[in-house]
Amino acid sequence: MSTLPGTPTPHVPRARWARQLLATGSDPDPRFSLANERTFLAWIRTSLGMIALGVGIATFVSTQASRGFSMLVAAGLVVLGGAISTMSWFRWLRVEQAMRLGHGIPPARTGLYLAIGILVLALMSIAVIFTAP
Amino acid sequence: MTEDPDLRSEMRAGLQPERTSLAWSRTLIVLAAVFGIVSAHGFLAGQPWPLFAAPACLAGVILATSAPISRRRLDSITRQIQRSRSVTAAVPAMVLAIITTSASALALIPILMIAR
Repeated sequence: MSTLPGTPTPHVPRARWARQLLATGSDPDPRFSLANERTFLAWIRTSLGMIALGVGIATFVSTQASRGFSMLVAAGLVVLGGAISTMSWFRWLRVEQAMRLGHGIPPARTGLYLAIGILVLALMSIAVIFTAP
Repeated sequence: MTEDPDLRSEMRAGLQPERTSLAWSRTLIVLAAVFGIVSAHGFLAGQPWPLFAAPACLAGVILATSAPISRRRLDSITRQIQRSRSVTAAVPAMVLAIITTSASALALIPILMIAR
């Protein structure tokens, strides 16, 4: 990209993958990039909520009878939260690449994994409630 | 409608830079809260002090820097739109994802120690 004399040099990220991403295709409308960024941040908040819930269960649900199950649910929530935060970044990257290349938005699989994970953990929680004396 | 292309692109973006900056602010506050909860859990569970001191320090640092970071992001987006350049924040997004995954790993340690 050539710059006019006197104009500041554009910000170029040091990371090679980031430079490659910015060199792919053409810049999309800023509104689309910002919407993608906000969606990524919403996924991060979702994952943080799951981590907080997991830690909350581990802290407050600790009766001896249901301890094993509770810890399993808590660990499951925390692991799911960590996995979602990683997947959300890859999702952000795929969407950004698709927008730069003028392709359609790729289908979201993170939501499906989240739904399955929550369903499994909900069933486990129901088991905890009904098996506790 | 103005004829100035820079002003036109800024007007087209509307409140999007502000909304994105607020989203960063919210996310960083929630991240600080999660580190605080992890720290409190480690303390209540009687974990070794580094396991609750480190998340507490991180919570404080993230909370203190949340406003400057979101303000900086707002300035950066506005500047990039004015210059008709990409607003993509590739590296900050990756750093945030890594920090969140680290929070998850840090939260898992006391849970696994209690379970054992």
